Amino acid sequence: MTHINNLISKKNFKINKTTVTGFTTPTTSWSNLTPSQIDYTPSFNSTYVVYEYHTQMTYRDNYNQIDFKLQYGSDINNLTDITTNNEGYFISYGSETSTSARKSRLTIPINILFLIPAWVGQKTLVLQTKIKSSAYEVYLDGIVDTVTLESSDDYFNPFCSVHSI
Amino acid sequence: MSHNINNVSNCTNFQFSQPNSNSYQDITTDWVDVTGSSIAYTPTNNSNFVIYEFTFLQSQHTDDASDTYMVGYYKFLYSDDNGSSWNELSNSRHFIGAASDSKLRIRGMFTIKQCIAYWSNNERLFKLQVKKPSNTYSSSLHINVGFYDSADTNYTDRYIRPIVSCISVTNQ
Repeated sequence: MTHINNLISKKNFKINKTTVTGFTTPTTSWSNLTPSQIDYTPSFNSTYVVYEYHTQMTYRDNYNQIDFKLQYGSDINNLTDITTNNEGYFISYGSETSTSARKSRLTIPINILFLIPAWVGQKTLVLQTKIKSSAYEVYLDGIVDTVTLESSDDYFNPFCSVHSI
Repeated sequence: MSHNINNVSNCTNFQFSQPNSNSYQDITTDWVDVTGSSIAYTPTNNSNFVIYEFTFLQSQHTDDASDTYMVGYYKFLYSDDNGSSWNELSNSRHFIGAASDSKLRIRGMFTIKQCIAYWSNNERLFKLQVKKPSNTYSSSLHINVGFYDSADTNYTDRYIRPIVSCISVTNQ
């Protein structure tokens, strides 16, 4: 399926940027990723809503793995899956252990983009995250200094955006 | 029930560029400008944000054997005086790869995206700089190195030209 996504078709663009002072540390239970939360009303007669989230992930354990799923609802206390089993709205980043016993410590930018059928009225959208287990811990929103060999950790101010097409 | 009836785009002044020739860049332990990442941009008057986006290839070092691992450490700079002085945007650094002793050999196209608060209706220059933390790492940009096709031919001319863009957004 092809959509012509020129500037004129990008309507009602909305951005939330969060200033952080430390890492976000997801747990083994699904929880809301606060900087990814945004309230949004699609433009009249739009077909889709484009949701984006941008940050930087780094390692806390030698192997790091994180799952994201996009939720929406009438407000932050009434969230639901967008599709059955979150099909099309679930993404994982990271690595598994290997027989070579080499550490992964994956450190990369996170650029998430989901296309959602438009709705009428306002909804709250938010990403939920969890890690695979306590042995696969991840830091979000920065880079540990053991990766960069700098004198201190780097932090990254995450941002999310939505627009209608 | 509410409807947003604004059917006019609030994304304006899209600008992009791509180098008109192929070149690669080996990453060193010093901060150097990322070729193709520079752009001069004047935002739409009284917009809220400018989105900077840079899509590029990070790969193996052009001179290296197969036992090294690849990383790139990036910082994002801007200049309000036509390049005479540069400042780093707060909390904006990126890293692509892994820590020492991981031996992760990650290659591919990546996107670095930055959200900059509106500053004024004056032109600002943006660019990325890159370095590697130490010489135990080894990486190049803008060229596929160390990739083999089904005939095990190692091509050294598979360039990917980077693309840089900016756009203004006025929140509604």
